[in-house]
Amino acid sequence: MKFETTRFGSIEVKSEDILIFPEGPLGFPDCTRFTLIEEEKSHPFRMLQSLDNPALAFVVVDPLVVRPDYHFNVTLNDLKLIKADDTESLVVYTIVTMAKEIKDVTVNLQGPLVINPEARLGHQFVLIDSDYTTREPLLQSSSSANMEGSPIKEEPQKKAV
Amino acid sequence: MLILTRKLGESITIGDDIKIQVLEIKGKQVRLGIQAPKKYSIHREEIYQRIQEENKLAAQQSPLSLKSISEIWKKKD
Repeated sequence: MKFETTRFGSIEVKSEDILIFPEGPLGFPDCTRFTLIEEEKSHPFRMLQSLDNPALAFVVVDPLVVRPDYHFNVTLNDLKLIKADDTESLVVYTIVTMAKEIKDVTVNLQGPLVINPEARLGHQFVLIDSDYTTREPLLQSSSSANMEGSPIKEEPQKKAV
Repeated sequence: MLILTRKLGESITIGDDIKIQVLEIKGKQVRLGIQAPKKYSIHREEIYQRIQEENKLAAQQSPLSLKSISEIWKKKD
């Protein structure tokens, strides 16, 4: 299928490369269809391009690349939103807020995008009981060690706050 | 908006399955206990708003290109 985008012009997207965010990212309830675009030499950063709004695209990155110890809890109920039974195969991205200078670039670790690649469904989670904020500096005196496995842990029950 | 006055320990119910109780009042802070079926996600409104605002900020055209941020990123170690 062909889609118009502001940044990449007209792009051809296979149906299996379309990700559906049924509720849209927060603040963009009408933008439900996205695709991930990797530009040449842009690794580990990617663009999450809206297929409903040509101008809407987020810079995203694997949060474990930025914070190797990044983790959060989800409930089985949360997982239902993206039709997943467990966290094994899920893919997590964090949205990058760009700035003029790299030292001011931040990542939103409080609102991770969780994608179930099998169902091609995504949802932006909101971490309530978390120390992560929406504006964590991209560059931190972080170690380059990478953690194995998924950053998401399943939690039996969600506490009401 | 429906406005109700409640005292400490009193509750309001919404529908058959949601109950909100005033647990503690301390100065300007009120602690609420919320009982609701799991299908409802309950959030502090400001966290939602903060993420919404951050999304809108992140959605703006970037002053740094993806390639340049990636280059700087790779050089950092």
